[in-house]
This record gives sequence, C-alpha cells and structure tokens, in this order.
Amino acid sequence: MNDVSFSECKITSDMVPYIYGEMSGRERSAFESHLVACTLCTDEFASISNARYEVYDWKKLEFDPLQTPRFVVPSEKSVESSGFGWIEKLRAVFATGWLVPGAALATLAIISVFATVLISSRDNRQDIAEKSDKPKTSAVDSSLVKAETGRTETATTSENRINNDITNDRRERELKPLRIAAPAQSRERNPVRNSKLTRPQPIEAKQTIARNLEKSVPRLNEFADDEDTSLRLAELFENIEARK
Amino acid sequence: MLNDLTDERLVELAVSRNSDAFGEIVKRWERKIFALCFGMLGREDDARDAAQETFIAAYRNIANFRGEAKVSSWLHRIAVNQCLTTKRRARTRSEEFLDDESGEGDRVFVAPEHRSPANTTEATERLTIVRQAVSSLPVDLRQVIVMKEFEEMTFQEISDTLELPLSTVKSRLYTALRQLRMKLEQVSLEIS
Repeated sequence: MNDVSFSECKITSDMVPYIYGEMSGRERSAFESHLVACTLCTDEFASISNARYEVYDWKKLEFDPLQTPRFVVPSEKSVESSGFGWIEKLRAVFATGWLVPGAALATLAIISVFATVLISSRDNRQDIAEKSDKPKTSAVDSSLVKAETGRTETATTSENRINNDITNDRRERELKPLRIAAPAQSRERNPVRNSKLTRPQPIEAKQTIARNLEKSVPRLNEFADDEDTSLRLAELFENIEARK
Repeated sequence: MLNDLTDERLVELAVSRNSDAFGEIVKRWERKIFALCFGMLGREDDARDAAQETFIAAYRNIANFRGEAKVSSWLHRIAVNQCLTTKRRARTRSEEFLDDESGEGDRVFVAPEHRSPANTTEATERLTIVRQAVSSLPVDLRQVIVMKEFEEMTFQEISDTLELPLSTVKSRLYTALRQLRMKLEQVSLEIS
C-alpha cells in the first residue's frame, strides 16, 4: 500500500471517525460510497479496523472484568511526608477557617490566665503563712526600713511582705487586744533580734518615728502608701522590752 | 452537593484542604485513570500502583493547579508521567513485564465460554502480542489509542484533555493504528 495513494484520496481523516462511529449520517454515507469505489481505501480500512479490534478485544478480555481499586485519598492515608509535613498539617488546620484554632487559642489563653492568678494567689498565701510563723523575717525587713540606707529593696515581695504583715497585724488587733509576748516565746520565735535595736520609746513616739521612716523610704509599691507600719514597730519594741 | 460541582470547583475546594472535594475528584476519575494506566503499562498491579501514585501526586500538588488547564488534562499528564516512571523503574530492575510469559498468572483473563482450551491458549498468546505491540508504540501515539479504547473518550474529549486540535488527535490515532497493524503483522509472520 502506498501512502501517496491515501493522501490523494484524502479520506484518512474520515477513516478513524468512521471506525469509531463518530460521524454524522451524511458523512458516513459519503465515506461508505467512497469505500465501495476505492479498493485501496477499502484494504486500508480493513487492516486499520483489524488492529483496532485487537486492542478492543484486549481491553474487553483483560481490563473490563477488573474491579476498580480503592484509591486512598491522601488525607486519610499517612503519606510519607518530608520534614515539613507538620507545616502542611498546621496549614491544613488554619486553612479550614479561623474559628476552630481561634477558639482553641482563646481557651488556652483563658486557662493560662487562671493558672497565673491561682499560682500568684497561692504564693501570696504562702508568704502570709510564712510571715505568721516566722516574724523574724518581718523583723529583718523592718530593720532594713529603719536603717534608712536608701537601698531600694530588690523586689516588691519585701514590700508585699511588709504590707501583708501589717494587714495581718491590724486584723489581729481588731480581733483581740494587743498582747505582750511572753519572754520565752518571743526568744524562741525571734532569736535573731539582738542589741542592735535601739532603746524602746513610747507608743506615740514610735508611731511618729514609723511614719517618718515611711516617708523617707523610697516607695517601690504605690499601694504601700496607706499601710501603717507603726503597729508592727510597736510590737517589735514591746518584744524587745519583754525580753529585757 | 459535591457531585453537582465542576472539576475545577472541586479543585478549588480541595485546595482549602476539603478532603471530601478531593475524594469526589478521585471517584470521578479513578476508573478512567486506572484504564489509562492499564493500557499504558499492560499489567493490573502496575496500573493500580501508578494510578494510586497519580492521585497522591495530584493531592500533593493541588495547590499548584492554576486552573489554566482542565482538571482532566492535569490528571492525565500526571498519570502518563507516573506510567513512564514506573516503566523506567521496571527497566532499571531489568523486568520485562510486558512480554513476560511467566507473569500470566498476574493477569485476569476471562475466556468466553465458547472457546476451547486450545483456543484459549491461542487467545492468551494473541493478547500478549497485542499488549507488547501497544507498549512498543511511541508515548504520544500510545496515549491516544489507550484513551480512545480503554477510557472510551470521544475525539473531542481527547482533544480537550491533551489540548490538541481535533484533526491532530484523529491523525495521531490513525498513525497509531497503522503502526500497530504493522507490528502485529510482523509478529504474526514471525510466529508462522
């Protein structure tokens, strides 16, 4: 068979659509009429059709009986990911919308705030408990205040301790009359106190002194302005006096 | 519903990691992609692996799908590349799976009832020859004939998928059938 013949016939473009039945009625009739008249095209058509049906049989016998496999969608399957797989997952979480991750972040923030508040309140309570058991600590702090060194206490914790002690003392005074500590007890409780402390003075004078000291001490905590330290000083002096 | 949406719209949804949308794409194209891979490779297990890899690759690169081409074109391109990769890998391993007579057990062959055992053997041999002949065609010709026979696409659909003029598709198919015919005649002569 000669390719030149077929190009002369110019029916090659029609042969394939005819074989596969993709021709209009009029075009099919015209092609069939040509086939009747042209033996070359008829032979060519026969051999091409034969090749086509070989492939058709192959598909029908081997492929058609096969079930379509279940292809796993990658999001369901653990696809081997590169080292950046966690980025893709994070992107997937945020790609679905901001509502869910936003809500999660908000929840986390609220929980962390609560936790912080709880921890700080627990610390305060611990400090208060420590102060009530160990007044020596407050004595050391008060000696720092009295010294007028101008040293700023490093942390507001000292100020807070003073404030808490004063608050506790005031509360105690409200509940029961001012008591003078027994010499033995005070000695046990306050072993640190020594002769470095000055001579005791009358209560009014002590209050004045306390107030003056309060004014001269640099304020680290603005909330300490209202606190009255004189009572604690008074107790301190009383303890010393009792010991003597 | 998802099944009312176009392929392109499903891809848009899939880009935003909507797994249901991508699942719908898989459902629509799984048979055709599997058919294409089977026609290109000739073996069920290789076709299954290539088709699975096609969908995985499509999912991974879905963000890169620009929408300039059709989804069918995009999937076919990925599938053909996967088939070529599979074939290259097999060649590297020195596997000749397409003309491997011992691999007959892997293939599903349902003989028509009217055929005798002798005819069945002859038919099996013929199928092997056809498979080998198709596999030996150039990729562009093989793809057209596989898309026409195995995927049962129209010329227009093939033209849209491959982004080729309609006349080019018909011409390629004609050339593919002619070359196939020559190979089959050559093998028949060798056997006889």
